[in-house]
Amino acid sequence: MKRLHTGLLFLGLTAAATNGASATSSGYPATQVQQIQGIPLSIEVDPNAELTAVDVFIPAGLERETVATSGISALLLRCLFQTPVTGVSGTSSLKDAVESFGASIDADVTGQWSRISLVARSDQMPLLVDDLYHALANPDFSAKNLAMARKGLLSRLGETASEPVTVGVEMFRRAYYVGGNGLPALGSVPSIMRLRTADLSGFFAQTYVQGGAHVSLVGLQTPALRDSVKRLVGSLRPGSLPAVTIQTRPFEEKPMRVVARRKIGNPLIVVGFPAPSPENRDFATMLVINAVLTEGIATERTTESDVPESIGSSYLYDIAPASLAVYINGGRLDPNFGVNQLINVASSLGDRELNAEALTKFKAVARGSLLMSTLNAGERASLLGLFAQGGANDPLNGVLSSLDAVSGADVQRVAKQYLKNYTVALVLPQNETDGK
Amino acid sequence: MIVRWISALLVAAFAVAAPLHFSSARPSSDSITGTLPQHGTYVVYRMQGAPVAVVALWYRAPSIGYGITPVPSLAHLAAQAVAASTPVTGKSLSTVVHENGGHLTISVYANSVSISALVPTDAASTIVAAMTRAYFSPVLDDKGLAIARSELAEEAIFTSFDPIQAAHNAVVGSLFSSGPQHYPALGSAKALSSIDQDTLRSFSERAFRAQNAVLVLTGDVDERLAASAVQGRIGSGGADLPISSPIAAEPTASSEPFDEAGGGQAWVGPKISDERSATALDFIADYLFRPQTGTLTKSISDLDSSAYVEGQFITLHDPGVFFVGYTSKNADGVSKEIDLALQTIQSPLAKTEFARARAAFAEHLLFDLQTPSEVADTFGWYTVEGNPTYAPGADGVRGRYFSAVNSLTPELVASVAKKYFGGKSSRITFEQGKSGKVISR
Repeated sequence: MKRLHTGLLFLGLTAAATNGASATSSGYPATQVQQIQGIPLSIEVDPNAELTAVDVFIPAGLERETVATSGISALLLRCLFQTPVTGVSGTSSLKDAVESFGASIDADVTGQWSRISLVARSDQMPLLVDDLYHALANPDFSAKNLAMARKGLLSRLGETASEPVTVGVEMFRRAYYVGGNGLPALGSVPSIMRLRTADLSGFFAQTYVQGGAHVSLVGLQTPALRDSVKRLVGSLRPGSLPAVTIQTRPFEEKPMRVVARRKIGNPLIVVGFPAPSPENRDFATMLVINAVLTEGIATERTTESDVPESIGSSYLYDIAPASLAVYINGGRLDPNFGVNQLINVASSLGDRELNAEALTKFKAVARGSLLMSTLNAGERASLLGLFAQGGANDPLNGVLSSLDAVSGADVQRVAKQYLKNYTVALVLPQNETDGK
Repeated sequence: MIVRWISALLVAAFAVAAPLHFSSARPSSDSITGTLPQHGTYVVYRMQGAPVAVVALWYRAPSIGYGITPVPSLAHLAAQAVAASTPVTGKSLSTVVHENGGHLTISVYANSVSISALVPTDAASTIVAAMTRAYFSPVLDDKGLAIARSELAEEAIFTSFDPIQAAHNAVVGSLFSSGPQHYPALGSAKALSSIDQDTLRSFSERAFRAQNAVLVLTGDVDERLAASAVQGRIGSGGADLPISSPIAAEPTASSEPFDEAGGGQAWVGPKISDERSATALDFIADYLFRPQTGTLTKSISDLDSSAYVEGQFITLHDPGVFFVGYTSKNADGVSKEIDLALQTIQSPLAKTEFARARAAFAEHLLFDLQTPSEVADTFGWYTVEGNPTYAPGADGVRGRYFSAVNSLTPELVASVAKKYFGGKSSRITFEQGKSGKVISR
């Protein structure tokens, strides 16, 4: 297989970017940033790709929602997926048009964006981007479509209510962020029930704009695909949204504790810390700290298995300022012991430098975690799009290089800065507290 | 490799079940195979993407051991214990993989064992050496064995609550009267505790010989990496032949209590060398059961949005097995839907629908071969089951598997469905909260 050899160029760039730090011995295929109608398009080229992934980031994220409109971004995306589009095989919903021949379309709502992700055979991608363009050009917010979208979203909302990690992380977000970023990604039942066609039309007109939007692509970029992407971004209204001032609640010396009860089997504890965003120079160091916090407490297993982990984490870097939510599975680790251990480790990281052996290990674990989250084109397109916001030309390789350069002193300094204060969210099994 | 398919949309527009066309306008993404120093095999497949590599050892080895008396879980415990044990010089394989930022996975099936490490590329050479050293000259220490027992016991308990796994074990087991297929690859926690160290050592030395190994390297790799494999101790013979499992004389149906309502069914299918029939059953599994998009998956979701259904053809040396498992509050209704779908598929699909479904199937295959782990699993599996050149992805989309997809017709699919879904099968029903009894028919 012919492979893109861009290593030398990449090493040169990253060495300069990291001020002479040692470069990674092997990296991602280099990415480039192009402009289409003023919108950045981040591309990882694979001329041999049988599948291509395209992610579209639209500045219609949680930060644009209010308590009254909570869930509107997610509801709008569902309406969009059900919008009829007409292709050579006839008229069907956008989702069916994409999936009926084997491709996939997905979406999610992050702090800053509504993200739409397409993965398809490289030769078919232009047609599917055109399908998305048609849906964006004429979205169906009719009462009938809205009712169907609402039903689907409420069903999903019901499922997530019993997912302890989702509940716990959302509780921490609600405690830490003021405004839309603290709201649940899928909204709440009352707000979803209240939203009407006019609300969706208004939100769409307001937020589906070119300013702040961007696109990432991993795979084969053909002239036809470039033309399709150009049409797609052209369907967004020119202009920009006013900047949102992200507010967070200050951490108190005595940690804030929030509690919820759900139909779950075991308690789950989330300990949330503030954290640097991807464009921050301390981002890579925080990835190493994340590895220490989780690996330092987890019982090491010989192999991967379906048995749930005792500890995990979620780095919320789609919101600026970012945060890190570390969760402890009370069914696998005593909650009190787990939280105490976590806080002790966090505290000791600020007190003294990691020794060289431990630093090497945790850097490798952090590097491995990043790599394992980018194994297919869709995953890389997603992360490329999220990390490209800092303006970096080759952001994934930039993070790898920065990871290589992390020192023990960096870990100590960043731990002191970010791990001093924290918030605890506790999700308890419903039956355990009934009647108490 | 540039793949020029006839546009699926155009195929549908003209309602013609024409063959899918491939051309080789760019260099082939062929795999490279070779021989290890002591006659094992290696397969190398280079992929663009994240700088990661999969280093996997595959063995043809019976999960229940080689003796006359079956020892359920023997292969799994042996493989896990070797990974956890510390050789005199160095660290355990598990530790080496972990410290390099990788993940180690051990999968055991009726007739095969896979030890697979997903690691950053720059650690790949170290891992090839560590893995081949660990398995070609296996060391089993007390600590490693204790860890392995404990972890697998926990896993056994955890999976015993999985209704799909329980259904699989029950119906596939009852399709065969004896042999490795008759037993679950991971038995009970009790079974694990009764396996002694001598039995494990004897099994490890026979099963994990270099001569019996297939080393699979995928991702950001090249052929030179295979040279990092160590020689290991001198063993005898070549690769083991598969141990057969006799098919049960009579089909069975049973009912058992379980935490969730559901069930499963299994049918005897074609052997791996019957490529067209095996591919036809893969097509049926994709068409009916693929998550989110399968026609039966969707209709069952309409019936009960919380229902789960899974269906797959398991390609094996001889014979293969088609398995279906499900859970639902409306288990009877779901079971009837499954029966109806499997009956309906025995008549040819309309040409338009077939063309669409075949194009989707081919694209789904590409989706399922995106990561180094997926490709390594496929190459390893098809190699130990005895038909490596039929592995999806071998020779890219010009290979034999995709040729078999290309040769599918509505009539062929219907005739294969009729032959195998009308043949020997076993069925189990899980009744929630009810005590059941086994019924034979």
